[in-house]
Amino acid sequence: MVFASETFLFLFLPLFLVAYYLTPSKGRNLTILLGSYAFYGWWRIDFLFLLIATTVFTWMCGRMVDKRRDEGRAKPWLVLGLVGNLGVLGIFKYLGFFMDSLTGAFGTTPDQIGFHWQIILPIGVSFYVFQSISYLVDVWRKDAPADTGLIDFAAFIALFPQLIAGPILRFKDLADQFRDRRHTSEMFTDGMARFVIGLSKKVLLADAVAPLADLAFNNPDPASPLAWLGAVAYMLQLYFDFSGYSDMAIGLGMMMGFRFTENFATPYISRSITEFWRRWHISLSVWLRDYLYIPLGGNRHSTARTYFNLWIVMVLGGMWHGANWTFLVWGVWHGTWLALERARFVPRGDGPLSLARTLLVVLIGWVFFRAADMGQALDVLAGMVGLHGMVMPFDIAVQIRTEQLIFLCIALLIAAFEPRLNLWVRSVWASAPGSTMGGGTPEVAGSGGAASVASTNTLGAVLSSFVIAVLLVACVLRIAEASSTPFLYFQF
Amino acid sequence: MIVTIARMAIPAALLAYSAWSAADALPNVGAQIEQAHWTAESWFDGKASAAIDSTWSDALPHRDFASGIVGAGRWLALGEGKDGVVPGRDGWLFTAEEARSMPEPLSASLARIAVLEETLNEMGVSLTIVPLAAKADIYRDETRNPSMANDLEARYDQVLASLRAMGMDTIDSRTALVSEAEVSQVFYASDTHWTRDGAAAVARAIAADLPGGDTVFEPVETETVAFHGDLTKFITTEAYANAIGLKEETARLFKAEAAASEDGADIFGSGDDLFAASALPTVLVGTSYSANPDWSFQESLKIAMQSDIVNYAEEGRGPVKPFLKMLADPAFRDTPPQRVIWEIPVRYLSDPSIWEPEEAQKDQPILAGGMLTDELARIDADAPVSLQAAAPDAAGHTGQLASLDLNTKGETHVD
Repeated sequence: MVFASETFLFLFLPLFLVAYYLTPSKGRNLTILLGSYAFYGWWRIDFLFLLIATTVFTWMCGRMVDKRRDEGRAKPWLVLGLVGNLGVLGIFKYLGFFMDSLTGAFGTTPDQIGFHWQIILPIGVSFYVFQSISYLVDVWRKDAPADTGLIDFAAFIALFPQLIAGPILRFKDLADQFRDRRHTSEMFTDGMARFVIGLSKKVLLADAVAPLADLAFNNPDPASPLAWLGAVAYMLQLYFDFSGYSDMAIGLGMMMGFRFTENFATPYISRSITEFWRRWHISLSVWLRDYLYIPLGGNRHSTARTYFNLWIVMVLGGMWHGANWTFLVWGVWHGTWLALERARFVPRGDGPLSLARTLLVVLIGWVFFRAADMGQALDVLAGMVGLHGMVMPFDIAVQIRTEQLIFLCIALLIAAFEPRLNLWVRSVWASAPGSTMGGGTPEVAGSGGAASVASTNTLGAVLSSFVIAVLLVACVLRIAEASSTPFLYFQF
Repeated sequence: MIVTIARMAIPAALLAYSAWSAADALPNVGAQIEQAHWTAESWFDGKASAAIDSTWSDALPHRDFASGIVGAGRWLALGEGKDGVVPGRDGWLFTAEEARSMPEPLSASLARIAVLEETLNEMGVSLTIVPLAAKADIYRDETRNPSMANDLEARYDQVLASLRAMGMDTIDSRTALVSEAEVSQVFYASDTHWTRDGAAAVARAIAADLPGGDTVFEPVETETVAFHGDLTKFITTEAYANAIGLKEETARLFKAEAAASEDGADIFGSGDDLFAASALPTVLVGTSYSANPDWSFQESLKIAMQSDIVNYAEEGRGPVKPFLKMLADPAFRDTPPQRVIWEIPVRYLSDPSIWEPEEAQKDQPILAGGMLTDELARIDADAPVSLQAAAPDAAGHTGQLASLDLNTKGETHVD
């Protein structure tokens, strides 16, 4: 089920919220669990069993790690838990790719040699496996409690707002909230507003520019204007799609009394790739730092080793996104730039030149990220440098609509001025009594409160409610009018 | 307090609308979903929930309102519709299928047509192909991009030249339509299809080339129907079309009725025809251009050819499926006609999906025992038929086919 679907908006969400708030406090985690399983099972019930099996397995391994730690016999259970989770990821995400590549090296195909597992990629497997791994490592490190009941842990893994596209949550950050969390009408309405803002990003912006990206990437020899248009459109589509999803996840969490970590902080104003990764998919960056970069030694060894660690973390981060050479190249590209910046081969600066350079590097990376294969990526890049000509043929031009170009411009402006917009939203919406939306730390959504707001602005708050209502109506109409609104990050 | 009420109004409205829409739409959803989806297997693999998703969305009370109002707003503000329609001048609309690129070489389609012709010839049936010219080619002045029409013209010439080079009987519909367009309207402004006059012009062109019968048919006017062209649906719903200036089209329908014979016809019909070798007269097959009675093509063909016409064309199924269905029809196989006239809009020849055996066999699994579709599939990998290059036109277009990317989304397709 996707958030931007009518089934979710008008069936699942209302039913879930009613059930949740009718459930006594002690049973709400169970309601979350059942609701989340219904949410996941709506896609396919068979793969729900994989989620449940992974959850129970991880929970048991965590218990054993905790139990055997004092006896010095916990490590085998940690290894078992990690191998089991990585095995799930490996089988479902990489086995097909491995077989294709292996047989391809011998000039044949899996079909031709008589076996080809038609493996379906379970939605969200990358996310819930990463969360399971972080749980096991945190228990091992004594950062997370292992005495948690199965219901709470299963509810954490399956928590539907973030189950299939993140943000990547860590149990240690939410354990207390599973035991005890506050529910207030202000937090609920703030969550609803955040959800609507995220829905608008996805439905009104990302979906509007998506056809431009499709047009360029589906064209075997895109002319220069089309290649640039498509690359920029995808850059914006991905951001508004994914950050919109994160906003919706955070908003839904707030409606249930949870405070999730922020996942985006206006990344397209970054002046370096290092800064970009502090602002883009923050929960993944933090995960990679805590569970990969630091275990590899981080920056505690030689300078060369630090560069290598940065590089390899990004390469593995690229591969995490999918079994495709394009993701590998994307990871290598970002890892190399991170290492170069760390080594100060790239001049630092806060000016427009640094901004332009960073955006160009990110844009080139997104071309690989979007392309179906290396050939397609190289086609688009060749188009960008003018190797496929400078004039768009009529059959392409006729498919580009003014509406898409207008929304592309709006998306560009919003991406550029989002920091100011955020300040405005906080000053208006969050100025109402009791609001939890503004004034909080940037890392945690809804962590602020009325106390941090200097004054109240009733008129502004009412007007902002009206704006949110208009956005919701616009989204509902747009969803009903459009044929489908799939999320890009579901494929990961 | 005011602020709290203002904010709670949003979730309250969402809940209230959800409850109302569920009460309104849900009772019908279960009945509309196919029985096949109510199995344990369908629930396990997600097909049941997908069917509910789709049916439930379609049944929501705001569905039509949303399509209408958003589309109307887009049209008024930008003069645009959804993917699938290309607005022209003065209210003319064109299907985007005529302008999109071609992922598959045309030669593969021609090779498949050759297989079908061979099959007919083995049954002693002649095939005449009528490639239909694009509306944007005929009404180039009404498009916003005349160069598109030049390419469409070159594409048509190439198709015709290639078919003729393969030894196929063909009818040049383009010349007939261009000529007729000088005196009357041959395509509807807001519809993909031809008018009664356009259909009649092509019917006369066919009759001029093919032997006809001796039955005189006369047009008997039946009714006049008003409708919104099929391309209007890519802009808004019918409820809003008039309000934003999308006018209705009008079709004057008629029946071609055999005139009373003067030379001895009795209640058994003409003595010559009753026991003729071929019980089936000329057969027409094709797309909605032939199938839809609003365009009167079958009736026009009867009049022009002075012969009854059996029509195997179907709406919304493209040119290939009805053809294969016709071949599988026992009545057709047992008493084959002398001639089949196959109407194919040129834009279809670049659509690879219409030739896919699975697609072609859909809903008709016993089709020709699967043999023919297997043969069609095999052709895909064979060496392509060489194309005949059309001569450069006045604008210097060489006949190089711009590509068409048809049917990438079901909603953009018109037949």
